[in-house]
Amino acid sequence: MNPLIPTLTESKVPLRTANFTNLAEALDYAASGKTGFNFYSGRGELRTVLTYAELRIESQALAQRLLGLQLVRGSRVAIVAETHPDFLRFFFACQYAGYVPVPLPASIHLGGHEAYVEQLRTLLTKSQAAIAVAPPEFLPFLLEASKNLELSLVGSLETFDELVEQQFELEPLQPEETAYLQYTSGSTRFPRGVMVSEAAVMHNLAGITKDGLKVRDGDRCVSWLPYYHDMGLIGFVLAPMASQLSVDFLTTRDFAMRPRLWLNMMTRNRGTISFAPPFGYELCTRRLRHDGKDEYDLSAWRIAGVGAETIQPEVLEAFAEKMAPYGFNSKSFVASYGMAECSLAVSFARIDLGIIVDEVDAEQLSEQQLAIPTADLPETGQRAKKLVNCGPPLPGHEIQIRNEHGDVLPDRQCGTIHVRGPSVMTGYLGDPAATAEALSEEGWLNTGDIGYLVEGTLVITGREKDMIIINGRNIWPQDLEFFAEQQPEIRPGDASAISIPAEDGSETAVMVVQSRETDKDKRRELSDRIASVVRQDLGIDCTIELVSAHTLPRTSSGKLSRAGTRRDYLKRQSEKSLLRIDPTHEDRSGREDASDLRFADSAR
Amino acid sequence: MTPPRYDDIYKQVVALLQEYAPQPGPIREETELVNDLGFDSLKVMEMLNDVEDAFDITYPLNSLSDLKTVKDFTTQILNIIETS
Repeated sequence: MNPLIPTLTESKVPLRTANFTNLAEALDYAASGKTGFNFYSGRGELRTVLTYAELRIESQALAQRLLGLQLVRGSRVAIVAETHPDFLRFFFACQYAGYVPVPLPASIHLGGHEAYVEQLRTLLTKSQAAIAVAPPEFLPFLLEASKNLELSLVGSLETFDELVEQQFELEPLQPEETAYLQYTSGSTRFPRGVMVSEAAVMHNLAGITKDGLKVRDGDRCVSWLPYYHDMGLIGFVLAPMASQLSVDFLTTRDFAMRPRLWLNMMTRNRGTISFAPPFGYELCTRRLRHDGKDEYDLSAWRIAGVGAETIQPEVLEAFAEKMAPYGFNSKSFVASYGMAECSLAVSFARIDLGIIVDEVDAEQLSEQQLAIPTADLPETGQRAKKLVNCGPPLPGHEIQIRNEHGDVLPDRQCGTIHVRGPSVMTGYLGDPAATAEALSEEGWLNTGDIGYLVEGTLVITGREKDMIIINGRNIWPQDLEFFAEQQPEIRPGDASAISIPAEDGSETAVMVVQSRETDKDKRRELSDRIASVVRQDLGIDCTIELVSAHTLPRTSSGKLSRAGTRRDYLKRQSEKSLLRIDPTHEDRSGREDASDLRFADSAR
Repeated sequence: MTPPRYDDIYKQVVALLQEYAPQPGPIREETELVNDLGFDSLKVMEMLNDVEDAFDITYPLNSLSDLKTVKDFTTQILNIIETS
């Protein structure tokens, strides 16, 4: 048997940066070249090579099999999105057959069997999937999740290979049709399916490859980002395919286990483009060995993209410093901002400049929502906050910053970020209310994120209101509160979940819970129980603080005020540290590296 | 090669868990990785790296979903070694 050889870096056909009418046409063109996808094992061995030419032939054959099921055009095909060639075969089979692929999460937590099955079941129901498919190791979960649901067929690729290949003329998804359904947005219990049209995603892919990253001959991508996350799927499957670049894939799990594999991959095939949330860079820095056994060559790495969570410049500085001996250039960092609702990308910082920091007065920022550069102020020892500039919007897109009354704000005033342009989603599947809330009639998308503009470039100061982000992963406070409310002694409205900045700039999840229980042991048992359910289901640590009834602040309309909860919590904490006693409540302290491997939307 | 024994694997597993447990404490067969030792998703991955190297196995990701106690873990590893 011949040893496997990875696909070439040069496609041998003229570079086209996503100027196609739809994804099927993009694959048709890529298939005329020599590039494709390469899958590596957890030991760094090349396991599978799938050229674009092979992918096209195989997904067209699979499309002919699926058509034999006689599903309605636009039917949803749910695919467990493990980093596996089968996912790509099904995703593109849908493109050729006229069905809508729905990537399902492939992330399993320790002891999280039931929770994962429940999550799959919710998504199958919500997306009204007609068929569902998983790679062999995920099939048992999918079968369990689809029990008693009305699906035409559930199985692995083998199941579908048994279908008879038809001889229809293939009619790929057209520009106005939905290209895929993305469930990265919304809470676990109330997921929102983002509908993105072929035209929208093609616009975004052109913006990413031509304008944002300025893809050129000789580029090669490396990715360990999950396929069920927009940055993994749109950024590192569709964008490279639409610009005929080869990709070397590691699974997210293998990266988490052996982060240095990422550097091996970059070295081995001279990768030039790779992205990660800040925690990916942080993990790599932390797990780098200094015994001289590892040798890397990162000198070809020209775009080290950063997105998916608030960017702490210090994390990237530490990475750059440690990797400098291996030829890493800190100018290759590219900050980005985006979300599934805008296909993926909204803006990129200009390449070759590295991280551009805007240093502003911290007090003015939090009190007045004004971003005043510290350089403009007299030296009064004011606290500075370092914020990262995420660049101008992609061509054809506009950004407005608005206050709570909807007024458009001038430069350096913080408000809610609104985006309009051709990459914006069509809406949320089956949820007109949520769609109307997010998308105005004039086509403006309310991102819910907070930021300001500086001469046409965007700086993010905070994400969607109330969102808790742990290592790049969105945690909705409602999901945390639900776990508390499930306890027999807790009633709805008795729990309020918030995020608290830790000293190192990361975030910690905190939940303040009202309880009438007075017995000290019982209180401790209750808070331990809640923390344990959260850890089991979401794989993160959450500090639980029990307080007496009627402590949680409410808004004038009677809703829980999370901003108020945060303010009160921080006040109690500082009083506690002053007094060093705690007469009214006890809390479980969370640890700092609470973490997970699922991801937030690209820049939240 | 002598077949692996549960007791030997158990001893090694306990040593590895003690090294990585975010909330260290006494470890017995019924000790739970999440609730007693405080493992979260990322920490468990770091530990699995050593487990795979120590036993020269590939631990399948989906096995994590049914892993609760130290006994479960030891039994899983024993099964992986025996079937490989």
